[in-house]
Amino acid sequence: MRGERTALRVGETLISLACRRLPARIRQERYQEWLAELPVILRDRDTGPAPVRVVRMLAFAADTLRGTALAPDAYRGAHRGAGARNTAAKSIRWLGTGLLLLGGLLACALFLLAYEGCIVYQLATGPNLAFSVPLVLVNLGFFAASCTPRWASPWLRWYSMGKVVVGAGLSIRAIASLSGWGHPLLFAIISYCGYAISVACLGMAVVQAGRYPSRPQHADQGPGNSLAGP
Amino acid sequence: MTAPLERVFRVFLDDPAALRYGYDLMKAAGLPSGTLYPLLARLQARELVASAWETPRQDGERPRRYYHLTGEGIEVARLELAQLSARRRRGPGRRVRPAPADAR
Repeated sequence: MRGERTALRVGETLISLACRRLPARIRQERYQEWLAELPVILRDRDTGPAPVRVVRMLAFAADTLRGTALAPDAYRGAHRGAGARNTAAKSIRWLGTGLLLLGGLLACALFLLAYEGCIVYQLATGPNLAFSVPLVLVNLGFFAASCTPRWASPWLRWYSMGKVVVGAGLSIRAIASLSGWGHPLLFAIISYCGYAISVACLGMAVVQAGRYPSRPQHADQGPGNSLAGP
Repeated sequence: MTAPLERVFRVFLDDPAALRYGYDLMKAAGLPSGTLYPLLARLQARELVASAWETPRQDGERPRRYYHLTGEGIEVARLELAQLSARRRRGPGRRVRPAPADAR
């Protein structure tokens, strides 16, 4: 399944980064070892629903990277001691990176919320061309991207299409109200329908995310089987 | 002995003959991978833990690596845990302090 492969690919990248810090003689076998755990974590139903398993799998890969960064001597056969002197500084750096990532995620979520809030505000209070025209253009761009094989995704296509309809409805409504042409309610209804479509697509995306790694991936599919090393 | 090491020893000693995968150990010991794997690597370097690769059960399935305590590892783990339990039984309040100079 598409989402599972993407998640595995992200995990593989993190594992690959982790293995770069290891001595060359053990790099390949550690890579194989950790890579073999990723699909197991992803299909471990005891852990919880699919999104939790994905997070757990990515946390496994990220923490393995942290482990090789903080304790590279462990893999060289050395004991804790001289090598662990810089551990505190490294830990702080890792904590900083983690906080930065968390902040980035939070900022993205807030941006998405503000974006949806702006659209709802425009729908409720009355259209503004300075908002609706960029909305149409940006989402036309997303729609075009979702039609390319690299970014092909039905829910992104529908989501951006929904937003295009909202933007187009709002734009026409603004122009109509300025020129006194047509019935503003008709365009309001069109933009409401577009918004409903985009919200439904978001809902579908959430449902898909909840279901996706539940079906076992066939053994000969996906990056989980690639023999490429780190 | 560190707390993660204690947990790993306890998991291994629950069933010393069992073969444990890294992920299973993580779950059983409640340790993250970044703590567990360096620990296992250190134990392997001290030859207290040994590892081997399983034979894949299905075509195309990646082989997994499993770990188990060596004979020496079982002895060391039991000894370390016993010493730890003894220290805990004594408790911090009963720690022996050096006698003051005027008491001699």
